[in-house]
Amino acid sequence: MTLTTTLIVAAALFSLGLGAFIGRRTVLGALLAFELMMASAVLAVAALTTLSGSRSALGQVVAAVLVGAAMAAGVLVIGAHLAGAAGRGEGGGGAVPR
Amino acid sequence: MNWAGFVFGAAATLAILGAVVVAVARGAAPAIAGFALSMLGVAGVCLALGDDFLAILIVLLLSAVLPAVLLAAAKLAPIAPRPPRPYRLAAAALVSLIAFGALVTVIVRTPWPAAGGAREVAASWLGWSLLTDGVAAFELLGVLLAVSGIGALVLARAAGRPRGDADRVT
Repeated sequence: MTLTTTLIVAAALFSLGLGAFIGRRTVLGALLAFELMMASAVLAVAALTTLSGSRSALGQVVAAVLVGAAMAAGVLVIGAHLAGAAGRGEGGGGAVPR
Repeated sequence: MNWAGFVFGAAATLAILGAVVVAVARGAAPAIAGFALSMLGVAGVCLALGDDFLAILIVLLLSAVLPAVLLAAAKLAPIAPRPPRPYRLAAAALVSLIAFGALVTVIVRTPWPAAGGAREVAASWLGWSLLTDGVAAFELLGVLLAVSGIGALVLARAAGRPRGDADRVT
């Protein structure tokens, strides 16, 4: 478990998220891809804070804020999606066309 | 191999496998399940790094709550996916590979500084900062939250009234 290995795992997550974002077919797919990229950023910040530099607690707080931002973005997108479907009167089982 | 190394290896594998499932899944449910597994892996990596607080946060928010809300949203308002286009999938795979190669090159070639000094714990540092240097910002944030809560109550009451009353309030 080294800094390089952890950063490579984060890079793999980011690349897969980027690929998923480009190849997405729905808005929820785009949201999942975005969350993957945010998680890779969280992992990179946590690794850099723990295994490199001055080991300040500020990095851990930044990583926690990134988790909160990812959660908030997810809730906002889901809320907008549900509100849009309700506005079109298409909720409750029917497929929502894009 | 110590326990941290074992947890790290297993969690990293889980994180990458889950992300692969997100990237290639065709339905919403498998993609969301893959995402939850991937976030569980990320939390495991954070646990192996010693960031317990971050691991708990990721498990609770990104591995449990968000997938549950996503599943509920997909059930309430399902989306008809667009048909897959081969050239777009090929472009996604190509961009993903190029990005991974570039990032690995940068990561391997960068001379990262070695860890130095005693490690600070986020919870104690944050608590100390909020009660000393950041006490004004902390109190202002409390006032802001209180005002927004009162505003939400006023708006909710206005929405429950007949049209004329609601217009008068807003």
